[in-house]
Amino acid sequence: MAYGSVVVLQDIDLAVSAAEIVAVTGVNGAGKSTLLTCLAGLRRPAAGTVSVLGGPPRDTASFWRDVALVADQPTWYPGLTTRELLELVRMTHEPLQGWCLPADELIEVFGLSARADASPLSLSSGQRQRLSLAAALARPSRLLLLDEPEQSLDAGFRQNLARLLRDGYADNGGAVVMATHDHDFVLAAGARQVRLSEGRIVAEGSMTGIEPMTGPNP
Amino acid sequence: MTAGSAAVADGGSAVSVAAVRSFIGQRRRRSWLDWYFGGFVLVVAALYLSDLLASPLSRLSAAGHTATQAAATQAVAGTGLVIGAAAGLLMLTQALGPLALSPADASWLLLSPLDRRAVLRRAATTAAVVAVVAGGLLGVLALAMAGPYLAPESHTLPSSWLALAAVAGAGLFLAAVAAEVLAQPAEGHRRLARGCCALVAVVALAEAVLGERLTVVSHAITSGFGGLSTAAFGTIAVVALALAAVAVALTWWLLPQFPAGVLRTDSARAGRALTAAAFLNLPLLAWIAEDDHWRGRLLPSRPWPKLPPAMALAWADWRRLGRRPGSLAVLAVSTVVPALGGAAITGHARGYVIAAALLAGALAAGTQGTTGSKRDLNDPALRRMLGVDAGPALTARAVLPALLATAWLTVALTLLAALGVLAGWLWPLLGLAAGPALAAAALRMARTAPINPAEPGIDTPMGTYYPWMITRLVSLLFALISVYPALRAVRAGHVQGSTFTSQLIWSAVVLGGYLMIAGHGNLPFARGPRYRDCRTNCGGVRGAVRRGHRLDGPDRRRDLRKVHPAHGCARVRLNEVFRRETARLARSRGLEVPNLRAAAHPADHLVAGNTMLVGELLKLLDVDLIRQFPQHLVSLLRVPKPTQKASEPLPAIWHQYHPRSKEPSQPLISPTS
Repeated sequence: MAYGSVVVLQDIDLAVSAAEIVAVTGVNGAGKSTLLTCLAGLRRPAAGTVSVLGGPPRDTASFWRDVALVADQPTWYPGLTTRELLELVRMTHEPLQGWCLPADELIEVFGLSARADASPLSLSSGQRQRLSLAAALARPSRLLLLDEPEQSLDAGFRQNLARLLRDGYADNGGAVVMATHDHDFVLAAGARQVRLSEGRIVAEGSMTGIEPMTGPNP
Repeated sequence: MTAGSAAVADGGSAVSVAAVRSFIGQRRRRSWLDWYFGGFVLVVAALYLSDLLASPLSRLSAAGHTATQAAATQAVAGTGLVIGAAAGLLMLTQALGPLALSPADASWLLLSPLDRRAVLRRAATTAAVVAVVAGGLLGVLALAMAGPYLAPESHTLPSSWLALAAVAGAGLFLAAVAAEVLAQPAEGHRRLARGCCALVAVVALAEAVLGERLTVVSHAITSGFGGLSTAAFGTIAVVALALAAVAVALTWWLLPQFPAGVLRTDSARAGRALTAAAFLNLPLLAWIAEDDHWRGRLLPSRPWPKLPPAMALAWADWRRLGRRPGSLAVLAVSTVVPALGGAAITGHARGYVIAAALLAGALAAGTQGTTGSKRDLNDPALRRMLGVDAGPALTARAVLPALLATAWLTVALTLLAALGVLAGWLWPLLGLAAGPALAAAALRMARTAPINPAEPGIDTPMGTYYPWMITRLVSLLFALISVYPALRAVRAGHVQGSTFTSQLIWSAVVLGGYLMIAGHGNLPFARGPRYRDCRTNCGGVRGAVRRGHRLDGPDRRRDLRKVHPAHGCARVRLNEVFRRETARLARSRGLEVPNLRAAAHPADHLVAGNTMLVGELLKLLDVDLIRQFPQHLVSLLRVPKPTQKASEPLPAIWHQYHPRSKEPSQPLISPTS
C-alpha cells in the first residue's frame, strides 16, 4: 500500500478468523489506520490482494451490511438525540439479521443513560466516542474494524468495552480488527497482537507469548 | 488476508433512503429564524447579483450599433471574460466536489446497505440544478457581450436568441459539471479536468486581450460569427442539450459505483469550506486550500538558509510560494484582467473599473505572501519558540507581500500602458511606489480575526453593526487610503511626477506606520515595552542587587518598583534577571540560594529557554503534515533539560541551576537577545 511514492505497508501477510479479535499495534505512522482502510476497501493496495469475507473489499450494500468501521470522529445530525441516532443506525441496516444490541440496552451498557435524550453535539469527547462505538454494535455485522477505539475513554470503561467485544461480539461469531495503543485493552479483550513497524509486521502472537518476526527491528 | 469465509447473498437494505431522510427530517428542529436567515441570504445575494449584472445585461436592449470595430472588440473581450469566468466556476465546483454529501450523511448513510444511488440522488440533483442556473446565466451574459455586434441593426436582441443562449449555456455547463463528476473518482482525471479548465481560462483571457488591441485578432474571431442566425443558435442549443444528456446519463449510471472513500474525503472538505465561507472565515478557507494541496505530497527537504531569526520565520512563506509555481503563474496571468475589464463591461475604459481591478488584483497578490501571518493569528507557537518578537516578525513577513503586490501592480500598469489604455510611461513607476502600501493592507487582512457569530453587535440608531463588519470595512478603507494617489491617477487616466512622489511618500508612511503600530504587541505573556528594551531597563535591577536591596520575600516586588520605577518593564525579563542575579550573588557571598516560594510562570521559562510547551510542539509537528515547516528545523530547536508541561511547573529552585552553557546542542536559530 503506497501513497504516491511513499510505501506505507508492505509484506503484510495476515489472516483473521471468525470470532477472533486481532489488535494491530505500533508506533505512530506504522500503518495501522492504513491497514484498516485497506480492509474496509476505502483504499486500494498498490500490489497484492486483500480478501474480506471471501472476496475483495467491495463498496456494495452487502459488504457494508457485514462490515462496520469506526474510524474518524463522525459528524452528527443536528436534530437527532443520542437514542434517535442509534435508532437511525438500526433502521438503515434493516432487516437486523445477526447479533446486535437494541438502542436502550446500548445506552445503558455504554453509560449514556443520562444523555440519552441529548444531542450528540452536547456530549463530551469521551461520550461521543462511546456513542460511535455503540452505533457500531447497534447493527449486526461480521467484521468490526476499530481505529483506536480506546481514545478519550476512561480506564474503567475500556475494560467494559474489551469484555463486550470478547464476550458479546466475538463469542457470537464476529471478528474484530482494531488498531490500538493500549496494551491493557488488548489484554482484557484477549486479542491476538500484531505489531507493525515501518509498514511491516515485526511481531505476532498473544500478549503473553508474542514472537518477533524476522525483519527490521521495531 | 481473509476474514470469515461465507458470502452474504443479498445485502441491500429493506428501508428506502426516503424513509431514512423522512426520519431525520421530522426530528430536525428548524426554527423560523433558520428559514428567515436562509431566505434573507438568498434575497441579498440576488440583489447584489442583479446589481452587478445590470450593466452588462442592459446591452441586451441597447441601442443598435453598426458593426464597427469597437463593437467587435467589445464582443471579443466580453465573451472572453464570460468564458474565463465559466472556467473559473468549474474549477471552484471541482474544489468542492462537485459531488459531495453533507458531512452527517457521509458519516451515517454512505457506509451502509442503503442504495448508493438513492443516497447520492439529492447531492447530484443539487449539483445539476446549480449547474443549470449558473450555465443559463452565463449563456445570457455571453449573448449580452456579443449581442450588439451580432445584431447591429436591431434595437433589442430577439427573445428567441435569449432563450436559446440560456439553454445552450445551461446545457454546456451541465455537461461540464457532469464530466467533472465522472472524473472525480480518479485523481489523474481530476487533474486533467482542472488543467483543461485552466487552459480554457487562459486562452479566453488571451483572446480577449489580444482581440482588444489587435484588430486582426478580433476581426478573425468575429468574422466567423457575424452571420449567426436563429437557426445557428438553435443548433448550438441542441448540441449542448445532447452533450448534457449524455453526460448526465453516464453520471447516473456511475452513481451506484461511486467510491465511498472519495466521497468521504470530498464531503468533509466541502463541508469545512462551505462553513468557512458562510462565516467568512478566510484564514480557515486558506488553510483548507493549503491542506488540500499539500496533503499526501512528498517534498524534498532543503536546508534552511542562514538567516536572522525573524527572516527565518518569514522564509517559510517564501519556500511555500516557491513550491507552488502554479500560484505564481496564475498571478502573472491575472495581470491582464485590469486591461480587460473596462472595455469588456462598459464599452470603453472607465477609470474606476480599472482602478478597482488594480486594487483587488494587487491585494490578492499580496495576500499570497501572508500565509504565515494568518497561521500565527491562531497559533503563534512557532514565533514564540524561536523567541521572535511580534515587531521583527511582522517586518520580516512584510517583505514578501510587498514584493508580490509591487510586482503585480507594476506589471499590470505596464500592460495597461503598453496596450494604450493608460497614456504615458510613468505608470510602471507608480506601481513600484504603490505596491509596498498594499502590503500593509494585505497583512492587516491576514491578521484580522475570524468572524465570531456569537459576538454581540453595537446598537446604533441606524441599526446594529457587528465588530467583524467594522473590522473588515476598515481593512478595505485602509487598502483604499494606502494607494489613494495612485488610484486617483488611474481614474483620471494620467499621471505626473508629483503623483509618483506623493505615492512614494504615502506608501512609506502607511507601511512604516502600520509596522510600528501593529508590531508593538509583544509575546502574549509580556506586556509593555519590547523584549529588547527591557535589557536596558533591567540594568537597574542588577544595580539594586549590588546595593543590597531586599529582593526576596513578600515585599520584593514593592522594593523592586522603588528601585526601578519603570512599570512597563517586561515581567518576563525582570524575573529572569532577578533570579539569576540573586543566585549568582548568593553563591559569590557564600550564602544559601534563597528558596523562592513561587514557581515561575511557564511562559517565563519559555522565553528564558528553560522549557518548551509539549502540546505546542506536538501541534507544530502536526503542521508539518502539510509540509510547510521541515521537521529538521523543528528538531534543531533547543529542547533543553529539564522540560516540563505547562500545567506541571518544576520547583523554581531547579531553574536557578539551569546553565545555558550546558545545552545539548547549539540552536539553529537563537532568540533575539
